[in-house]
Amino acid sequence: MSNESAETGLFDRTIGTGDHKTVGRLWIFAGLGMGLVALVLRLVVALEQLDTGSVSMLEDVNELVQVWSMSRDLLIFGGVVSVLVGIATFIVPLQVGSSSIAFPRGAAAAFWMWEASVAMLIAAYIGNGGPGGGTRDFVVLWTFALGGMMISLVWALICIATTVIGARAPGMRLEMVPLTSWTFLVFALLGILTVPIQVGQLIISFLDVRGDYLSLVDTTSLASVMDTITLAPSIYWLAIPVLGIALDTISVHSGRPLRFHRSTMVATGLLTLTAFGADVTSFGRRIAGTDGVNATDFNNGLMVIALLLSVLPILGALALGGESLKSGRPAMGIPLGSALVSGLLLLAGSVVALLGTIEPIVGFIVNVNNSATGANDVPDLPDALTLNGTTFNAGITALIVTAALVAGLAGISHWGHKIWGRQMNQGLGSLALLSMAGGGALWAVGEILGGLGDQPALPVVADTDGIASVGNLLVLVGVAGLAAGVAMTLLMAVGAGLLKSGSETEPWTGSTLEWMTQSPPSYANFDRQPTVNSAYPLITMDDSASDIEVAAPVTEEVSV
Amino acid sequence: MTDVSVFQAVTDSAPAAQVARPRLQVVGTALASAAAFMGFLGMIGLYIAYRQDVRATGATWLPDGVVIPLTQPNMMLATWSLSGVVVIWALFAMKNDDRANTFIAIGFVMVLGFAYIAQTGYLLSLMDMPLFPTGGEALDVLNRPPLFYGIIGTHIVMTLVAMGYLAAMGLRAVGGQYNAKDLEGLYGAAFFWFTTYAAYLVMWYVIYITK
Repeated sequence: MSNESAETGLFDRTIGTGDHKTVGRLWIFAGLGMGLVALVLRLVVALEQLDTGSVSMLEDVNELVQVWSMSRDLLIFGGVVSVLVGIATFIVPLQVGSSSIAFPRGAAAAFWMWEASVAMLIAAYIGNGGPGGGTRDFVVLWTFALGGMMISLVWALICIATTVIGARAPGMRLEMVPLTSWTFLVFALLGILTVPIQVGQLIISFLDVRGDYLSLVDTTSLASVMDTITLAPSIYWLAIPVLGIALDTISVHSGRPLRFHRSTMVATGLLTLTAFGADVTSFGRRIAGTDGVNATDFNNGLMVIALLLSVLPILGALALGGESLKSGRPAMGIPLGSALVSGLLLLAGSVVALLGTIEPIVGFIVNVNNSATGANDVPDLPDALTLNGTTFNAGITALIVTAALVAGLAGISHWGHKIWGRQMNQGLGSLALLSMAGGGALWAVGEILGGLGDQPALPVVADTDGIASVGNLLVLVGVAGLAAGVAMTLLMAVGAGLLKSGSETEPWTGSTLEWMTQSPPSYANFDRQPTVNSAYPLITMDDSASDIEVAAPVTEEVSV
Repeated sequence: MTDVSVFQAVTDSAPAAQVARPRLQVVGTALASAAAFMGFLGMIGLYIAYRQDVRATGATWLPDGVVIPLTQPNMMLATWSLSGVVVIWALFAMKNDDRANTFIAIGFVMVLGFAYIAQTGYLLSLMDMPLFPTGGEALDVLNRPPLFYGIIGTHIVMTLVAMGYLAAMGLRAVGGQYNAKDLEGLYGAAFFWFTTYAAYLVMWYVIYITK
């Protein structure tokens, strides 16, 4: 462990540090910044798509695909995942009672590798690379840069997961891990198991492009590499930490720890299983190929099961959070409001995703009927049922991504005092929440309407009318609102973190270990190694009493 | 003051020892190994799916004139199996604080690692399947050599990383950083070595045996 007291210069305090708190802050700042850039780019696409019959602002349809693809790459792996990783890097070691994150230099290196990869990704797109690009070297650079971003995020996730698994405070068994840390553990494990599959595809794409096996006229097909992970239901990967942050926030701001801690852990764990199953079947659907009719049916069947099962754990976890709200004394503010909104958006996303199961279910029934009767009927399904390949899935993604961004706002404001040492601007926070929630909902509705209007997921130049045109307008307004919300969140972070504005008084306290540290925590986090024997070590719990009181902040060793 | 009280005074005033964090390196390595293995399996999945597509059209998977001999892949399998035994020997020796044997075993593993890479090079030269066409000949798009080379190349990179990791941990062990009670680094390196071995087993069956 390095000696922080010797770190005096700006270089030492940023690039040279292995302190998880500084690295976490860097992730949050950079993630919000990249998320904002991504949404501005998406805004450009939305403006262009107001008239889908032609390309006016951009040069041609390939450039349109490039801007769209860049916004998607940067939003998922540049913005949302980075903000979540930032919150995890900061808060997980504190919650599990560790003096640092596991492999602190590795965690810092992951951030800087990610930064370099993001810079390369932007350079690749500027140089006419990426999906839709026409310059071979820059298309190759795109595969390299996106792979670098994914590897560095997996690296950061390994540090987070190792911290929860191996660096917990004495006495803290796995079932006592706070929900945020628990969900980040399963989020990390899922990321470690699925993101490298995309890296493998990128390696093949790299060689394909480099060796001219993929024509430069057809590089739009490269966008499919991201489909596996950015479309529902694989996108539920992002939903897992959303639940953890939301439930921890609800627990603190309702003054009532979750009564069914283990049940909630099981519910979020189940979501991980269904998300993993969905990811694998999504990959299977894409590679099933021409001879894979049976495989496609099989994968469709699994996908439907995964989608159906995904709703239940989300519903269950939120219901358990609702119990705390009902029996506690909720203090409505930015953190609690954001937590509730993120949970509702998540639920909306999973329910809407059920609509997407209709097509594979009907297809399966038709295939079974054909097999039984020896017929070869392929009935014409109504447009509302043929949603695969349309913007419908992007609507679900919009809901989940917005839920993750709002959960980021919840986390940043809930632990704001720990992260920045100051309270964040509440007025700006309210505006950010309204803007993000409204914008995200409109964006999702717009994409879903586009899907019902049979608008293809990949931007193309083709006339659309009616419901799809209304959808495109809603997407424009929605993305603008979401971008404004992210910009305000970034402003809040800059205000509290860099400009040092806001009160230094700790506004609330909770019952997990991070609340026994100073605000912001000292370099080693804890003056003494805490020892715990319950999931909420800072509370005084009287089984005979009907209520549970939250203890005052504790400054000494805690052993309940 | 008695001897005991002197001892007590010293221990009472000393700061508490940093709580040991066992297995962090092993846990981290296991997670990294899982990530590497999943990336590898993803490529294998693409390979199987694409090969199935090509065969469904009635075409042959390997380009005309390209043959994958079995001798070299089987020898490589034997090399990997032997390396697994030798890695266990290294761990066993370290568990007995026998640094000399640990050093010899790790050196032997390095030799086997280089032997595997050399055998792969020889196999590829026998197969003579160009990755990138150079003379203006038609691209063998159907057979997708990049898939083949992507998988083998990734495995060679994994092997080099495993060798580097094992060498670094071996040097630490020989330098005295590890002993019979604490050989976490060696366990971690061994874990990644066996992951690479498992990846070779998958590759051996999917690419070299079923072709």
